[in-house]
Amino acid sequence: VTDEELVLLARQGDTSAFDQLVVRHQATVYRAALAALRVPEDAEDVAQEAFVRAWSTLPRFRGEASFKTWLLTIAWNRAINRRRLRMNWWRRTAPLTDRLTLVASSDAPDEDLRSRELRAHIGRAIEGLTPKLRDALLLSQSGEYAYDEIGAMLSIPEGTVKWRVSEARRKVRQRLAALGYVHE
Amino acid sequence: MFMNSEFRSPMDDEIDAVAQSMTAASPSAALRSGVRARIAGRAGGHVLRWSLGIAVAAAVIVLAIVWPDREATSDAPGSRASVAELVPPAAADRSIEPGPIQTPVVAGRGWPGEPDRVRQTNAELLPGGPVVSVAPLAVEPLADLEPLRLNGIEIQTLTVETLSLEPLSLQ
Repeated sequence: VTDEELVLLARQGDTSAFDQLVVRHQATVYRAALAALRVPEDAEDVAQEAFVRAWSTLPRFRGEASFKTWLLTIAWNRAINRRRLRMNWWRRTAPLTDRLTLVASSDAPDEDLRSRELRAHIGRAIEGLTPKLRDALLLSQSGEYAYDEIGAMLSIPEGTVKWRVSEARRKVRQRLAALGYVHE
Repeated sequence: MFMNSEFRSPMDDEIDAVAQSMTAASPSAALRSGVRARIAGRAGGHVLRWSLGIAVAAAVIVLAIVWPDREATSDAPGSRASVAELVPPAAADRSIEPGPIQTPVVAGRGWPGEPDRVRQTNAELLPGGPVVSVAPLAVEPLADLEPLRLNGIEIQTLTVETLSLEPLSLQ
């Protein structure tokens, strides 16, 4: 069953059809929210809100973009709104650098110390990027979205997405170089 | 502008791997169940809102029917509604014609402190004068006239000034 068929059923009030859409896209939506918010609980909240919003506005979905892209745009906008609110609060309560964590640095026992340190530095460098560059890099590397889908989410041309990803990498490399990490 | 995107440093693999790990997570089962619950709640909310809307509309309709009737039939001298409120334009026009008021039910009360002058009767007006005669209640309306109605309810009582002040202004 295609997304389009499920959407048609859901528009007629079929909640089980919409549930299938949720199952199909929940990871994609969640990871987009996680890329923006960096906090799993917030990402899950936003993903849930996005699905509920999609359900209530389904009659207005015109099918100009795919359902996935439309859904991701809803989720992304919600995530960005929440990030703005959170950042305003955060700035008043704690320095940003105190709160940042590297989410999933590998702790494999056979990995040498230098490699783990490098990954930690890369993580911090990514967190230290401007939101525009960081969003593009994280979304592009999540493996969930094509460049045109990222462009739709961020409301920018596909070429700009590619440039931001490239620029994000360059900035991270620059920071690593300043720390003495230089790969030939 | 896209020179950079063509260039790939060996460090980029490390960068991409870390970036990938930062979103490599799956949502919990609570996401799906939460969506289902909220959608069900929303559907229930719609039903509730519709029910509430219907109840409010019904209450408004009942009030619209009952309240004007209560005003018109109140016995308290000071509780009369104004002529403009009580009498539809067509009815007011009819009442200024000299002669018997050809409506099935006409009644009135005096101004506050004054006795009622007309009640449950058919009344006759003379040009330029007050109500001058009182006849028994006309049980049947004249064939060519409809009973006075306000908001779809037949008016049982009108204040006397509705009938007398208009003719006074004729001459």
